[in-house]
Parts: sequence; C-alpha cells; structure tokens
Amino acid sequence: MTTHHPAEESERAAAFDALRERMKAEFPSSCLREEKRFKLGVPGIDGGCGGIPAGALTEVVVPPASAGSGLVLGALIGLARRENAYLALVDGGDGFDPETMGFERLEHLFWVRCSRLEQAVEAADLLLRDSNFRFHVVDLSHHDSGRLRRVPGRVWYRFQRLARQEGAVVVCFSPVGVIPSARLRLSCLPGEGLEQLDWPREQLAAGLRVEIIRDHRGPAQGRGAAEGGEDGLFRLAAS
Amino acid sequence: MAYFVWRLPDFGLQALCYTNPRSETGPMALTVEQGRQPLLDTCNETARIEGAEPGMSVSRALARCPRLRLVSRSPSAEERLDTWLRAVAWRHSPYVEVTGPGTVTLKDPVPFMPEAVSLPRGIDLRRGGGPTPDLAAMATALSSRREPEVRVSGPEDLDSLALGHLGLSRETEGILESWGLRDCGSFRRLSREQVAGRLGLPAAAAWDRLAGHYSRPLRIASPPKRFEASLELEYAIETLEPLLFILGRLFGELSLTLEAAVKVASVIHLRLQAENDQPPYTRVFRLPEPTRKPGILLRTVHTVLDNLRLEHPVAGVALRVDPVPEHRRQQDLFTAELRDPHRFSETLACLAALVGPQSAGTPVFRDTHRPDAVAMQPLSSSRASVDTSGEGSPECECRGFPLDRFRPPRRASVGVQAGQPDFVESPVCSGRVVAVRGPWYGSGEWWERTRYWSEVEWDVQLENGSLLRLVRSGRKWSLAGVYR
Repeated sequence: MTTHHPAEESERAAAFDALRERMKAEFPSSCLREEKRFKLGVPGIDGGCGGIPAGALTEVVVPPASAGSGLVLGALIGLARRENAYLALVDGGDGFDPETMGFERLEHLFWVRCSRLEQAVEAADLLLRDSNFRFHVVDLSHHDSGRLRRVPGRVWYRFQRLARQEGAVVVCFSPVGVIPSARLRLSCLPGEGLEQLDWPREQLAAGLRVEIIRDHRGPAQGRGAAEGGEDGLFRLAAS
Repeated sequence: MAYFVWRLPDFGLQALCYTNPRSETGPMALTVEQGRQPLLDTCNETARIEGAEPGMSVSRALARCPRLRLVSRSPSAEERLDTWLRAVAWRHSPYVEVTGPGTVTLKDPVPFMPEAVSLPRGIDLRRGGGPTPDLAAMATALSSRREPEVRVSGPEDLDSLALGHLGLSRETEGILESWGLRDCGSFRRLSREQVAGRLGLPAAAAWDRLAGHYSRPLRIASPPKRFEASLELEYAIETLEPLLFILGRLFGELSLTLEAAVKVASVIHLRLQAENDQPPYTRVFRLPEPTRKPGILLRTVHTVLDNLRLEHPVAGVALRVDPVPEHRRQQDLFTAELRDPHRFSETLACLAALVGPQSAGTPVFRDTHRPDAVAMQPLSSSRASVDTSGEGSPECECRGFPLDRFRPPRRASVGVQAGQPDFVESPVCSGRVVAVRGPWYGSGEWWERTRYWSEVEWDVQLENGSLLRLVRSGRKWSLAGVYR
C-alpha cells in the first residue's frame, strides 16, 4: 500500500480535474450522463431510490400476500398519463383488471393479453423494439418462478439494451428476483388488512412499504437520459 | 437554357437486370433472330471483354465466351425500366420528353440526385448535357460508366466524337470516310453549303444539329394520372426473396411517380397472378398514415407476405396505390402521439399473429354490470393531454388495491360458517379466513336464458395476508382474483 502526501493528493486531484475538463471539451458526445429517474408519486419508492430509472430495467418482486404491487402498476399508468406518453402493458397471465384500475385512466394504455410465458417474452421484445412507447410494463407475476428462471439471461440483457437504446422505462413484475440485468429491484411489503380495500388509492400509495433489494445507479444513454448531468466516467477516473 | 439527355445503354439487358437480381453479374447477351441464324443484338461489358460483340453469331460468340448467358428481350421488364426512368426524370424537371426506349430529354433539370432517387444497383444511367437537345444527346456518347455525366458547352467539345453518332446514312458515312473524315470535328469544319450541295439535305441537317444552329422543340410528356405498376414474369417465382426484390422495384417506381404528383399513398392494392391462370391472390393494405416512402410501403406488404403460403407459383405482380394529397403535420407538444405509426402498425400485426387480434388494444368499458366485461379497441394514434392535477381527476376516485384477475376464475373449495366463508382451498392459495367483507349480490341479463348470470361476491383475507375475491355462483365457489 502506498501513501501520498496531502499536497501530492491535491496536485493529483487538480491534474485529474484538468484532464476531465479537457476530455469533456474534446469528446462531448462520449460523456456519459447520469440516469433520469421518474417520480412515481409513491413515497416509498421516490424517497427510497429516487424513482424509477429511464433507460434501464426495474424489477418489482410480487410477494404471495397482498402488498400493493398493483399500486405500483397504477402509479406507472398515472405517470404515463402525466408524461403524455403511451404505456405498453404485456400482461403475462392475462390478470390485469381495468375495472378496479379505473377505465377513465387507461386511455394511454396498450394492453397485450398473453396466456403463456413465451408469448409474453416475445410480445415484450416486439414492443421494446417499437419506438412508440416510453413506458413498458411486463407482468410475469402469474408465472411459476421455476419457469421464469429458465428464461435465458440473454433475454433480460437484450431487454436492458433495448431499454437503454430507447431511453424507455421498463418495469417487470415477477414472483421472485430473476432478472440479472435489473438496475433496480424492489419488493412491496405486506399491507395491513382487508380494511385497506376502502382506503383511497392515494392514501394506500402514501403508506406503501417498499424494500429496495438492489439499486445499481449508473449512467444511462438514450432519449430518456437527463440533460446536463454530471459525467460519471470522469468522476470515477478522478476517484 | 440547358438540355440533358439521359440514356440507358444496352437498354434490353439493363431492363432484365432491373427486374431480376440474378442477372446482374457475368457475361450476358440479348439475341435476335435474323434469317435462320440467331445473332447477338446487345451484350454487356463483361461479355465484350471476353470477346463477344453485337452482330456476332451465337455459335461464334459462345466459342469465344463459353460462359455467355443468352437471354431474350422482355417487353414487360423494358416497360418497367422505362417507367422508372420517366419517374426519375420528372423528379428532376417538369419538362420531360420521352425520346425513345431508355432515353429521355430534360429541359433545365436540377442537378442529378442519385441518393434522392435511390439508383438501383447495377443500373448504368448515362447523362449528357448541352445547349440543344441534339448536342446533349451526342454528349451522352462521350460518357462512360466511370464518368456517367458529360456536359458540353458547344460543338467544339464534340470534335473527338466518331461520325457514327451523327445519325448519317451508311452511304454518307462511307463517302466522308473516303475523304479522310472520321470525327465530328473535321465534319463540322466543312462549309454547310458544300455539305448540302455534295451530300444532300439530310447531311446538311446533321451539320446543323452538330453546329448547334437548330434547337428542336421537345414533345413534353405529362406524368401518369394512375399510380400503378405491374410486371409479368418470365419465370414463375416460388420464394419470397425474388418477389420482394420485384416489389421493391415497383414501390420505388410508384414512390417517384407519387412524388412527381406531390401525392402520398393511403391504400395499397396488391395482386399476385398465379401460374397457369389460377385465381390470383389479392390483398388491400390500408396504411396507418399516408406515405410514399418505398421502404415503408414494402415493409407493410412484407409483414403479410412473410407468413403467406400460396398454392401456385407467382407469374405476375401488380400494384396499385390510392393517392391522397400530401399533408405534413408537426408533432404536438400537448398531445400523446405515436411517433412512428407505420412501425406500430407492423408491431401490431406481429402481436396479432402472436396473441390474436382481440388480445391487444386499449381496454374500454362495456355498458353492463357483468363482472370482467371488457372490450378492446385499437390504440388511438393521438390522444389529447389530460389534466391530472385537479381534485376530480380519476386518480382521486379509485379505492383499494387493484384486482389481479384469474381468467377463467379458479375453482375453489370454501368452508362456510355462519353464512360466511371460513376456509379457502384452491390451487393458488389456501388458508383460514381471518376477515370477510360482503356479500355483494349481482345478477343481470335475466331476459336472455343463455346469458343470464347471478353471483355473490366476497372479499376475504387469509391468515397469510392474501386478499382474495371469492365468487359463489349457485353452489359453486371460485376464486375471481387476488388484490395486489
């Protein structure tokens, strides 16, 4: 292990700063920007991890007990409406219920009803390649975790690449954590009970307890990348 | 004033290459019957390099060039290439004369734009420019494959051109050669009176043309009013690849014609003529957004043809598009719009093939109390923005967790105590009921025997925290869904 004199350290930092500025000026297009995260209006998620990342995969683990993962889907639909964008929902088990979600809120929703896992994966692949959707939800929570684990890893990495390419928000619901390329993985913790079915949805969302299992913050590229973010690559080099 | 003549040398051969991707390489020659002996009419550059020449007998040409491919003229292919040439010409100038097969004359055209017309691979388009149409036509004789465009400013630029390009009779050419005159320069330096007196009026007219003293008026052709293209095939097609090649050519042609008329296509009519006079395959494609981009038009047809199986090979292709006026629009900041409706249309077609046409769309409410009554409608390509800030917004009205339905509902065994569910056993989840809400009675359509429904719903909480919706219809219990 080598130790450096404080003066040397500051000299090194200054040299790195100068190098960073020079590289930024020389190769502006190579600068990686910090990812953009969308606030869902769910304090448990917005406060815990800053929102749902654009240009990356997010995995929401749906526990067997009722915990409010449907609220996350509802919040995503609301987000798409606020952003004036279309949302593609690949419903892997044909379980989505428009009635309890509220028909009035679903004008921006494109719902694909699948019955098999292979269908859902293929449909998600097709929609991710379509540049018309900024928000994607792939609900695979109905499928057996054993079968989900047999989906080749390259599929998830391809989804990640497509999400990054399009700068899209891609959220997958699964019964267990199976997506190796998920940048953010979270799980909803069980709620209080049957009386919650009478609570307004805002109140439920405000009280939603979320566990952040994984949060790999990283730079993202594509349409959804935030403008004017700091340069992660050069910051890494300096440290 | 400037004129340009565009010419496709070896027109018959180029027409075959235009409609057949396999004809682009190797030595090839067109044959004609002259008396009993077939002769070479035209041959391509590769054949010329290997020793074949126009006018040579077929047996002699094959002796010199054993791999020479002999082909016959295809009027249908020539018509297609001619149509393409005219469409490209109209793209560059409104004043176009169809001078002959594979030759057009343009007045004051814009500079040639190969990228705008997507010049097909292997097509050799020679262009000659000059102050008169005749000088421009002669200038094309100076062009080559390497230098396809030649401009001349006056007759002196054509001095090196051989006399054969003047359009003189063989007899006159022979006389001039006997005088030691072999190029246009030496012919031009003769006195016009002497030429007229000794060689006659046709030679004097040729002298006038060469000197640029006479500029003939063009017979201007008008763009077609019908937007259709068809091709009868020499050989029936059995696979998709050559069919797509031909469709690509036809769409390219139609796109240029539409552009000349400032129109876009809204509907495509495709007709595939089957071999042996079998019934044709016809299909109409309505485009999600009118366009004339050949790539999009081809992709629209390709998506369907990919999964098409015909009983007979295809012997002819015909395309017709319905034109509509071009309407450019700008994306609205406050409206959700599909950025690429054509792409979405293709995705939708793929999804329809994957999950069925009724399984993709936007859910809409059906005016009934029947549970899970959902209708699907196509996604609108534009949707006005919504105000989600107000108190009365739909977000504020929903209550409880959304339901995750089982379609169809799962059978469940339910133990009942004091008229309420007490225990649930199902393949999805089982356990003792710790809390209950209900019952909610529902029935409807009693006026129709087959559609009558009646059921009782209960919301229950199991000891593991699951919130379920149970349904009793008659004596049968089922699990309608889980609140998530």
